[in-house]
Amino acid sequence: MKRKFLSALLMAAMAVSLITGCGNNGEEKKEGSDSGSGSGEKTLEVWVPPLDDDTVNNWGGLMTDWEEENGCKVNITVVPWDKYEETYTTALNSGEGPDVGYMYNEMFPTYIDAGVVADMSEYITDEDKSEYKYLENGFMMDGQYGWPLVTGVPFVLYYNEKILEDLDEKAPETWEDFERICKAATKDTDGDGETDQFGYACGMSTSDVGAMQILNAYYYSALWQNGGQIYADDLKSAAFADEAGTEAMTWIQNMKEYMNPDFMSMSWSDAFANVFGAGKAAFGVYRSSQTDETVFAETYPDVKWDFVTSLKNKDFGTFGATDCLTLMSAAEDKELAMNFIKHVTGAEFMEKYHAKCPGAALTNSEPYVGDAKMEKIYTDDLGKWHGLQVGPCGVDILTQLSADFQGIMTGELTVEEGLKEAEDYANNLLEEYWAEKE
Amino acid sequence: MELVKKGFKNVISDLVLIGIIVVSIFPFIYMFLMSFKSTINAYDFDFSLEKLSLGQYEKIFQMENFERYIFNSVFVAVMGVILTVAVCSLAGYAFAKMNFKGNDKIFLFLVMTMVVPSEVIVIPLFLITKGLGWLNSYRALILPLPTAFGVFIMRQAILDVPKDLMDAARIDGCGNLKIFFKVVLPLVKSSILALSIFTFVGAWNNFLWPLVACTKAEMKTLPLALSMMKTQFNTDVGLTMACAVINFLPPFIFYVFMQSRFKEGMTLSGVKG
Amino acid sequence: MENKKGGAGKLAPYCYIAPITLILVTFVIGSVAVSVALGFTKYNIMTEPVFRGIDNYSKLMSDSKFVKALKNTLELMLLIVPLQTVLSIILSVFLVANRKRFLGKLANSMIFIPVICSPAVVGVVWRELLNGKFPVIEKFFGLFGIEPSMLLGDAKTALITVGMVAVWKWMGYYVVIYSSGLLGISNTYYEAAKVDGADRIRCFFSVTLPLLKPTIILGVFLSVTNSLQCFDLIFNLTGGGPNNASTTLVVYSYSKCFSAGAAGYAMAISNILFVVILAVAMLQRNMMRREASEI
Repeated sequence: MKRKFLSALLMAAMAVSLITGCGNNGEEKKEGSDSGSGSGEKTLEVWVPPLDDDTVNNWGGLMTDWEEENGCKVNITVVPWDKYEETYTTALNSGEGPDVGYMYNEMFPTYIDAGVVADMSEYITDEDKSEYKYLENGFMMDGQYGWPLVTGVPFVLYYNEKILEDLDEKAPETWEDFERICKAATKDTDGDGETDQFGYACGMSTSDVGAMQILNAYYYSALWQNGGQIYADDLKSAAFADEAGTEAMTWIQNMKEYMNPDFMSMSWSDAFANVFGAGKAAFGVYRSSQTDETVFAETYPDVKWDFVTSLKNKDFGTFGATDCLTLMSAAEDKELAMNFIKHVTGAEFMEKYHAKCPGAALTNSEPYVGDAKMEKIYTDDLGKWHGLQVGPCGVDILTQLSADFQGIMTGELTVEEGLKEAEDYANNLLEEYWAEKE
Repeated sequence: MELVKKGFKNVISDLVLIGIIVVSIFPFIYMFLMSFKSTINAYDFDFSLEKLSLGQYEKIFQMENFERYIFNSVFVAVMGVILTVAVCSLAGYAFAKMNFKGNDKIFLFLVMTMVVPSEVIVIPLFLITKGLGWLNSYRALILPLPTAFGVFIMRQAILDVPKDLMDAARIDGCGNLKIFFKVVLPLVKSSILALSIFTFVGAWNNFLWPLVACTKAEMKTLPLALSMMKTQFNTDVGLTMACAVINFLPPFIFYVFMQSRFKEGMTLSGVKG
Repeated sequence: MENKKGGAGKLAPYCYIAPITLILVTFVIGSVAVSVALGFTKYNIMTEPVFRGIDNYSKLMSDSKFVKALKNTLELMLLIVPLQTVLSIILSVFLVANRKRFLGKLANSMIFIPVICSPAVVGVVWRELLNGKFPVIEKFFGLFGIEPSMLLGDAKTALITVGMVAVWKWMGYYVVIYSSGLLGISNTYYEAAKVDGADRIRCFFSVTLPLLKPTIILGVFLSVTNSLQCFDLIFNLTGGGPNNASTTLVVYSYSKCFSAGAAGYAMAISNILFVVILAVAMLQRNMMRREASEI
């Protein structure tokens, strides 16, 4: 009897140790690849999201010269957009984060506060300041925490040339133009009693794209064009519920009657494809680079299109993200990391990269390679688009604002109610935040 | 008259069955068809078979280290199934057939762990795993897989094993363990099958936990690797669907394979009146 | 059954249950314990947690989103559980009756396929199907007077749509459970009933259902716990919107955990969720329990 039960115990133990034994693989590898641990070749851990179809090869392939020059191997890890922050927070918790990271504006406040990104100001030379066009966009919360990498792709207002022609209209410039065209365009074109053409193709669902995107696509443009902003200048309170902000929100709400009725179910990109792309709307919003000549030709061959970077009410304004490379505080060789960052955003590297995967030029030395139609975004219209104010509790405040925005658009809340709820929430958070700072 | 009635009943049954089949799988037909299209957006979908291409699949298979990711997923899922079946059937056996102090209480306690949703304990689980030093290891992915549900199923199934058979084996001189292997397990095969399939599917589709538990690229599982292909603003539905199909196939194959090996199919014995 | 011989035998059962108990205690109970502890802190995962007492819980009391999420969670459960149970029992009866025929076997296999697919993909696919303006889908929904692309965007229908998709997805799972139960009912009962002159419907209500009761108790228990844990499905169908109309406690806790750097608060929410699920599960068990040997 004893033997039999002992053998049972043995078996269980064996099974468990077999499983646990398999775990050693991962751990041994962990030991061996600490960056800059002094044994032979240096390595630089770089984390970027999918910048294109095959980031590791597209980027990695261009790195060999730099790697040789600096005696360093660059390990590029692609972090999926799905659960992006989850990857970062847990990795930083366990000390497994990268040397060079990639963050978007809304993310920064949390990470700056946690002290995991380093201020790059000391590494910037005067030369850098004149060469790198968008450096300012990476300066936030009193430090150069971001070095712009992907930018220059603002959300712009596309319009259907044919529909506008039929209405005898030119490209809109003001809110009045826009409203007038929308109103005239929203009608029943095939006589079946149902409106099937709309003024403004919109999609305000946050599924799959996240809460920020509906603000990016539709809200900031209205807010900024009316002279409003998210934070007050001192970043201690919310400013989006003031008079300008309320007017802007009301204006968007009024546009509802010219939108496709199912706008709450789709994301902004789906709405663009489904409604505007199908030729069923006069206007649609999309980012400027994704729909260049070739994409349009392939996916929406029947649509004659053009675009307006930004309307103007009191001012111009539309959202253009600036995603940045970051120098992580845990990086061992910061000089090396900075060298990498500057190289990778510099003209030499970017020209080759952009030839494969088009994007906006980050430096003055780099020529513009892209769709000719879009070039004005970087020249005449450069001042019409910009990124967000970076302020404390950004994501939290904006998520609440996004939810209230949805509530206002569905009619669940009035503009005043929605804005008040978001404002109170924001102010509470900010109060707490600044109180803790003292 | 009887024959006509029976025939009529059969036709109605057939229609209903076909209805069930269609309702169950039509979204997958969509998924499958879309994966062959190389459109940037999904809305020129029609059932037309033109413009089909393997382009998306090529892109996916060309991914570096693709074999490694598949291996990881398969390894974790298979080991997970083995581990789960082993520990749950052993425990189920004890709860069902052995008299010991605390049998009911401990069982109830374990079953209560079923109320914990996996997404909200990700951070605590991460901290525990970190504390054990098991991050970036297969251990971390496999060991949390067994659940109390498995114990519940096995206990139910084993409760059903007739006492006489066990007594007979005992008279023949078999100890507990031998009875377990020779008498009990063969009788609960269909429950084991069900448990295997549930566990495999669960392990395979895990996204959040492998993401958080493993930062090293070589430890990534297939769902993670596939999500690396999705760029931020290009909603290339064709690519998404191709990734979905590839992720869907292994559990599907496992399911079909296991179903064919077990004639009676997946049933939970002991779950009865 | 006395099968113990001496001291060694007494320990044997504990060895059998040791592995799973160890696993569950370490990972699940351990996680709950950590979650309870973190619920009293302010934590952003990257730096050390800061003790804050019952701050999080008092904030929760006045958090309208929390109340909304709680309401949605319970609503979703009340929507999913009855529908799932009734529908799966009916389908199981039908499929078991037809299990010898080819189409029956095929349907039995096919119905399990949605279970195999990951919830995230199911969410994406259904979202595309509902919003995509496909003529087939529009006509089908049109028969019921519904316009499919309005479903996910309307605060009133968003949650219901999520529930429907969840019921669709898990149908195969519950059919396995109930079919097993049905197959376990010995034919003698039916024969006896027929002798007494009962027709099919009478048989179902007087023989099948009562004998299926233990299975139903299990099925409902599983349905309750599963419906309260829906996550990926919701995220991909509606993102929790519009304006949190389809945000459940799991979704809310998760969003607080990672994207707002308020992991401590998220833990507090999940702790309350644990209590809710436990309470509901116990309630359900007491309400339905008649036989001692089942859950």
